[in-house]
Amino acid sequence: MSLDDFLKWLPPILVVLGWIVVNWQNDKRELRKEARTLIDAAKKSVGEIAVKAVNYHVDGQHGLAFEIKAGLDALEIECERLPFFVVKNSPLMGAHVAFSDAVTGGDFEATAPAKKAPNSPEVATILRTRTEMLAELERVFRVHYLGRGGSRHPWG
Amino acid sequence: MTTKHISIAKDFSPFPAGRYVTDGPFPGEAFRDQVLLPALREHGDVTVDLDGTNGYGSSFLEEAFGGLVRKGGYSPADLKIRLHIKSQRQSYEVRIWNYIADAVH
Repeated sequence: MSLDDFLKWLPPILVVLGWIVVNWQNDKRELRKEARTLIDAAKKSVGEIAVKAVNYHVDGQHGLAFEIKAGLDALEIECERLPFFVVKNSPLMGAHVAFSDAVTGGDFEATAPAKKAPNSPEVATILRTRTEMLAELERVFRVHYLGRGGSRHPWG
Repeated sequence: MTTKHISIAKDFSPFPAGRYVTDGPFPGEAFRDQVLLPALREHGDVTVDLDGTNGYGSSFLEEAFGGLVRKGGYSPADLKIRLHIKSQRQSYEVRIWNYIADAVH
């Protein structure tokens, strides 16, 4: 191919390459937006479940048991859309399991569960595992969608 | 050896809740003693299907499955071979095996 031929084809080649780059960037930005929306929804669910759990255990609002269990199932479905959640023992799965155990463990759904004090170990565990779940959701976003703050390996 | 398939929703209740029999009609203790332990004694492998219920609290799952070690005398290694968990939500399976492992201590 002569230089003249090459120069003749250069503009359309550059147009196509430019389109590929812009399309790739748009895809990446849209994926990041979707992930941000998903993570925010999951974080909102975690917060709502934690509030209901505290109301259940501290205030004795035992009618919330079904809402708490349904909320945990819904939260898991949201998390399943995130990278590596379904990998057993991934940090996000571990955080979800710890949060679920804190919320629904002990005497959950007992006939007369003991009312816990706001500063009891049970409530402290609920709040700690809630915070760990929120932090893990943010870590997933940071690592997988912003490309910083750690390895993309599921165990980060 | 035969394989027994148990659906908690169909063979026990779609509304499992609580830990002990004093907690209500369908607690983990009742599922373990009335359904799960007899199945493990009579069959080589047991598959437990968790789908179709209104969800599970850790209290139910811990008593039902952790109790296999504490009350049923099974070892986690034996259960790992003979017990199979089926669920659309993978966290239930992770939790159940955690309870079985922790029940040793």
